[in-house]
Amino acid sequence: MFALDYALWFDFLLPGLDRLGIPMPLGGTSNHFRTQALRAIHGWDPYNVTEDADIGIRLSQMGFRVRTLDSTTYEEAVTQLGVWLGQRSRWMKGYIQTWLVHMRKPRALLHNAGAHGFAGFQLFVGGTPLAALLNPLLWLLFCVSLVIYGPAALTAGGGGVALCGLILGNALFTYLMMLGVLRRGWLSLAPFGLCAPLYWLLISVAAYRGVFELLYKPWHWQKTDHGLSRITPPNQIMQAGS
Amino acid sequence: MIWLRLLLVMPAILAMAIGGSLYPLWFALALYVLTSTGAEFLKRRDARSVIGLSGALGAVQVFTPLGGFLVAGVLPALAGFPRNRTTLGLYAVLLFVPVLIAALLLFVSSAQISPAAMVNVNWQPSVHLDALKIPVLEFPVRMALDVAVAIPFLPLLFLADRAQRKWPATLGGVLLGASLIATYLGSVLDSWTLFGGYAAIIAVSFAPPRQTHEMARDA
Repeated sequence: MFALDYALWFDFLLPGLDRLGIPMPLGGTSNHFRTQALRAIHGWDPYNVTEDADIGIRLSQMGFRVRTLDSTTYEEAVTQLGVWLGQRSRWMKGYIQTWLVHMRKPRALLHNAGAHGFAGFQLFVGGTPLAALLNPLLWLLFCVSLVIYGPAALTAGGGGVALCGLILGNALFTYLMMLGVLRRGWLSLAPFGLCAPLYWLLISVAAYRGVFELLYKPWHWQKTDHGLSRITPPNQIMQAGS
Repeated sequence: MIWLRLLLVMPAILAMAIGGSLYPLWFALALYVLTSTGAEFLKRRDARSVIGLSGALGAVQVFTPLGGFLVAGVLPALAGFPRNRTTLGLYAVLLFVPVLIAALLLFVSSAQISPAAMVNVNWQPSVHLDALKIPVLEFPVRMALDVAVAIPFLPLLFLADRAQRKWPATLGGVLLGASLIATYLGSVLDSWTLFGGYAAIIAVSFAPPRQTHEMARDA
């Protein structure tokens, strides 16, 4: 699932943002900067736990263009749920921090990023934690209405529409995860994309943990232990889909 | 290319105008979209072509839900796959949308939900389905239109030509042609007759593209 997640993010979504000219929340795996640009934006924000995402947005705000390179940096996937939750909760907390920081002056953001950049920022930086936070609530709401009203909940009062929305939302996420592997030809991983709704629920757990940490430990950095998994040589990774 | 596409469906538009029925146009569009997206998928196999073909299969599913279910169950045996995890993955990605749409349609019909009523659209199935029936025409006119309407079938020839494994391509062509003509001559409500068409498109699509001279030289 980690590979599917990364493939979708780095092979589809980030190049898409690049192509559309939307401010790009950078990932921390491999970034290359001009020193001059870093100095111009006064470096990293040491209080933001996703400083890479924040710096991508700030570079765009300062008029620099962030692009993606046709290159791959492999990263070790976390192998334990607890470690994964810690890492993901930090990402969620950082995205919320980044959104809050840049939305202090929404007019300036709108002016600097343009309407499409502003909308892209809301969708990708604000929308990512928001969707993760709303997802279990919508499931809960649906399940409770099903318990109270029975099958009639599916048809009465727009229940069918709500169900379709819930299913289509999860289906879209599942489909995107499955499509993510196409560019690298890792098709053998595609069926695992069917687990995306469960993965999304885990992301929601991480999002709530991130919100809790933002309130009570805003600058705490959930360190991710690396070097725990068996190392896979790059040539075997390349052949994983064949 | 847009003019070529218009030319492909132009006879169907004429048939629609002459016969006062939407069916020839729907039939031609279904043929064209299925075969052209199948050919694109065979050529590129990237995300865009996968979305195109699975979207086309999903869209036609609205008319042929049962056919889609049959394909999902029978296709692996028909085409001799999955033989490995890669093919299984491709199969899963390609059929995800059609199966999802079929499941949604099944739910909507079993729960007796009317999407049109929910969005307050005056859509009366009986009236619209009547418009999809085949026009009653005199023999020579009808025969000419039948031939003309099937012109969008031509992209399948390119599709089969690009396939390396000839047997699924041939089988696909025969199945697609036979089932679509049967559907055209029958009633649109006999929806599962498009089953062969589904199977054909996907079977042909799974055949690996022919290795070109340039590719062989590079290798």
